[in-house]
Amino acid sequence: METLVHAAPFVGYVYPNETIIPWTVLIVVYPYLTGLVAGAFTVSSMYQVFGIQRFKPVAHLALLVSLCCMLVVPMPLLLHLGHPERALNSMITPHWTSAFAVFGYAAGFYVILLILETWFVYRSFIVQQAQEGKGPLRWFYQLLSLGSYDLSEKAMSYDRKWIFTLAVIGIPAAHGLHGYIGFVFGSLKAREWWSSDLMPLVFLFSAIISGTALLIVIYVASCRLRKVPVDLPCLKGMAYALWGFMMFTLLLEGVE
Amino acid sequence: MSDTTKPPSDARRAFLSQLGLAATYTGAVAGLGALGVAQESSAKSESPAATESFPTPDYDWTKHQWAFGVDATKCIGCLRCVEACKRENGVAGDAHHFRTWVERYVYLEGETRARVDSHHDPVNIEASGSEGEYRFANRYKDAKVEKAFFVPKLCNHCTHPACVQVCPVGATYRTEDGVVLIDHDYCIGCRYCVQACPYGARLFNEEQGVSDKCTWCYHRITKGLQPACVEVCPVGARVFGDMNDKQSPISLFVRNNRVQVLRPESGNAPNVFYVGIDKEVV
Repeated sequence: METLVHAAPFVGYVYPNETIIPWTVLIVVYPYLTGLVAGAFTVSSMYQVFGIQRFKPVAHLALLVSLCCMLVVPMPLLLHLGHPERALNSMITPHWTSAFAVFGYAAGFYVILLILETWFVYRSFIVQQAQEGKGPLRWFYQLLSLGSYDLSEKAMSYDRKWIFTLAVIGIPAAHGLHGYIGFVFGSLKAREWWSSDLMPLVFLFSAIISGTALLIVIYVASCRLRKVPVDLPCLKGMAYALWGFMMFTLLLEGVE
Repeated sequence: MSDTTKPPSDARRAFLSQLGLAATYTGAVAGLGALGVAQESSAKSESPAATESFPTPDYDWTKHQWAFGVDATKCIGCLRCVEACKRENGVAGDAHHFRTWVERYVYLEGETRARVDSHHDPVNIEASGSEGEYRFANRYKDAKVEKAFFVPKLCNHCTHPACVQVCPVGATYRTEDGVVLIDHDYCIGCRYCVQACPYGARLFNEEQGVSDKCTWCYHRITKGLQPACVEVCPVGARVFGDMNDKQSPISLFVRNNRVQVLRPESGNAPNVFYVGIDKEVV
């Protein structure tokens, strides 16, 4: 319970109940994590859908980063709730006029999509590990392969078709998921500083920035760990993307 | 005063000693009585709102349309309503959780904007001595006050409530008789409704992990009683009643006055009607 009374001389009169901030750091962490999901997925889609070859070295990593972040996204939300055990009520009895009612479905759909796409992307690696690995790790990969060991050209082109389709659906899904968080804030007419039509866009583009930035850090760190030289054109490409999106977000903030 | 009307000093002494004796007896009796009351109230640990007699049997919510009136010209800022509400509904006894509160608007000479404060202001808490007691400090006694008034606030039980709109599980709803309530057994505690209320009328009950708000003392009004804050108001600044009954206090209040609502532009269509507030009141 954090109180705002000390700020009263600067902000003017505040309603007594509003001296407590209802949405605290957990509600800040949650959109940030979703932002990382959407941002990393954007980089992945630049290669998978739009065929930008310089992003090839990070395309798979980006998908994995996206999936990892997405799995922990509900955590801060659940911890924030007064009754986390009732969280599923929003899916069992959704109240459709609420912007929040969609979250469970949207997030669930997107997690399934991400798991599927990541599985297809990493399938050749999984099969390879399942056949050549040793010990418990081999069993783990055998389980992950779901009994499908076919790596023929026909099977791979079938996989590519699935990856492309999922990535195409994933773009609106990822961006929709994050844009809607902007809508959750922006549709609150009672909060003058949030209530703006630009809110979903501001959220979306800042998400792409933070996701790309995280990917740059993880990519460089993973190259160091694997002792592989960093692919400079790819790194530069991500830096340009970061710069471009950041300028656009600043423009949006300025317009706001 | 002539000497004849003055009682002799002996008689006066006797009279005073009798008076003292009587006072002692009365005090003892009153003290015992108070003790009994205190024991009774301490034995009942939960607030009246949570007792077994609610929901009221045989209450037909299609037959009423409740509404509330506030006459700001009458309010004296005694804050008995705030205290009564806290006790009646078991609201946390600090300066940040209120189902109803009172604001003070003061225009000083030469200033164009009102100075606004409420009992949660640090200066007022200092004057009362604790966060659990509510008082308005006499902070303007040396200033030249041009105009000043109090404004009691509470949930507006809007016809189109933004808080109900945003609830993701439908735990908060508007009853047929025009009261906005929360199902504490279904609320997930996301606080979206707290954010959505433009009047700051919603609060979060940390103890129970759910949102909370004024219910117009639904457990009382369904039994034919007045809300606690209306009941205790010593000057009649708070008016409550059934709009379906043309002779009810609220019907008369709305009919006989030029009333207004808070933030009409929000589109929530509030059902708390005000008389005697100024343009700065939001």
